[in-house]
Amino acid sequence: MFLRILRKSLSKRKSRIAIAVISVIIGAAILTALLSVSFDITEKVGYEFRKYGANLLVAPKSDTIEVGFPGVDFGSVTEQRYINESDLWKIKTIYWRNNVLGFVPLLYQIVRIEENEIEQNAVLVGTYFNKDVEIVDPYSSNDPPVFNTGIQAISPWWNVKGMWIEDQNDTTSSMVGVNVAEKLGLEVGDTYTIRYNENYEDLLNESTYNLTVTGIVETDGHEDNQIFVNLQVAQYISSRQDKVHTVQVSALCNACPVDTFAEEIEEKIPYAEAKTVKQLVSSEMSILGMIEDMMFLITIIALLASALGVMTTMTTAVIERRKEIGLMKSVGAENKRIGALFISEATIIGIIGGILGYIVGVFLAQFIGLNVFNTYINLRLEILPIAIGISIGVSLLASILPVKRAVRVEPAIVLRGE
Amino acid sequence: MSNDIIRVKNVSKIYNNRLKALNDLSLLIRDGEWTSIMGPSGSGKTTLLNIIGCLDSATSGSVFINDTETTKLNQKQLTCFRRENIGLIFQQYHLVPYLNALENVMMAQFYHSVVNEKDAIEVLKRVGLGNRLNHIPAHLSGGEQQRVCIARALINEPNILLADEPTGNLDQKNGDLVLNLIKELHNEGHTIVLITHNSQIGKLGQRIVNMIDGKISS
Repeated sequence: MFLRILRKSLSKRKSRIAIAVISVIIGAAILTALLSVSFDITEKVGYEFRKYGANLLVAPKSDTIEVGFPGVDFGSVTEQRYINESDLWKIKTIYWRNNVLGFVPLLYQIVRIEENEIEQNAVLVGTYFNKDVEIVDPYSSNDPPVFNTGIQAISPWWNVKGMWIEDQNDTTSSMVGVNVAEKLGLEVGDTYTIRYNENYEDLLNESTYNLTVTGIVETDGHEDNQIFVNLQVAQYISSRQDKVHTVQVSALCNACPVDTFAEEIEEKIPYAEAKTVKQLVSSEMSILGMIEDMMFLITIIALLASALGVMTTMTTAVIERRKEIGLMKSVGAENKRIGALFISEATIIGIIGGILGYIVGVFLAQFIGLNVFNTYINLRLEILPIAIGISIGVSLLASILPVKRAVRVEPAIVLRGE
Repeated sequence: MSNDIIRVKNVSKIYNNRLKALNDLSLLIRDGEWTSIMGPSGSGKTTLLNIIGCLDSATSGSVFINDTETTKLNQKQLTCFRRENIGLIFQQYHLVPYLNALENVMMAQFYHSVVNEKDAIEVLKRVGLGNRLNHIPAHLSGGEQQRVCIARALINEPNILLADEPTGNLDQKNGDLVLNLIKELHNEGHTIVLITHNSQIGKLGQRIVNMIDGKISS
């Protein structure tokens, strides 16, 4: 009978209940959207900031010894001009290793391409695309033994026509910058030949190599003039096994000091120096913090607005139903049963509002993601119980005063006709 | 042992420290008696009925019903006592608008103890509404609504029925129908306390109590 009274009571006042539910939907939707975005914010904002390039650049130290004496320059001797690829795993063994989102080695060579009767110089860049790097000596025994990284992980914003290179052992595929592709008339699927020449005094190192275009890259940056291949291809062509020029590291720190981060890398790879883009990283952290604070405030305000909406509806319901409440009491309903009726209504409003608010919030999150961060926000089912729970909580809190008012209704008013 | 089912002793009711609705009123009502309470508006009839019906409390004095001093009960105890012993019939019926006739009766069962749909149908049949069970109040005539109100008052089998102007909103035909029903209930042994302005209806009772200014005048 209680459920029947509850069901009919709700269906009789559909429009009022709808107003309360809409109030909760608004709160739950904003809560869901901002929680979804907030959960993704580190990753998404991190990626967003990665558009400015990696925030750490690891390069060989300038171990250059000037030769000569004052006023007379005989040149210089450089002990180390490369970083060993076999040392790169050490980057994932620093204390702040979990903040390393990815890293890619870069080995640059100038190559000549003859295609469609056009000759063109281009920069061939050997790098990682989808590389499983073995962590030879992990920092902790709980760390995974393999770290997957690649240019796609630190530069996901690249606009690629065709495909990324997915196979780390692929030695025939290449991704060509859009300017190079246009000049040479290359399309996805085309095969072309590169020629590499290196003159060192009387020695000539010359090789040719056939590559297939799997994707055309457009970044509006210098990548548009480059050709990207798996690192081992560039190393093979230039006979620089195990060598890389620089390493770009994509790192994100909320609490870690970036300088320490860089120093640790230098400790692990002593012949290298890590340069931080300090301003970028610190402003990144400060913007992240501000965005999270703002989201928290918006969520609180939205939930307060929801509570106000529910409280208004419930208070109106109690005023409108005074005679009904008085009548129920006159036929024997105790205060707890009157309270239970309104609390049940508030709970149902919270559940319906929470579920619908979650659904709306998922779309809202996508809207925010696409318009603000230019990316999709992951659907997180774990937010659903949070949204429902908080919606119920808000509904119940907002119902405390109306319920108190309801149980104070005196049955005598029914007989008095007031 | 006394045969008085209701004993009102020196009861006063003062609203807001100044409005004296009942003034040291005493009244005895016997078990199975039909008492008509008459008097002009503002004489305290409804206040007296509310106090007897455990809907309101007296400022001073005492009320005994079935040897229980209801003026000493707290709100929760009054609610329990009311649902066990008293049936209320209102001038304005006071049915829950979104529940049908059957559900309005079953609601009283629900707040009393357990719901028994069969019993609720039986009592509605008894008041002549066997074919109107599923109609909501808005689809029932005034007389039909009042009969649903009576069925609701009867469903928990109280000994005492308190009726406040039960025919006040009804035409002659429906009024007679309701009064005949109350006569039947009286004949079955229910104690009836009925407020009315109509002297003809008042005379249906075994005893008429006239009230003026919160006191019994005769």
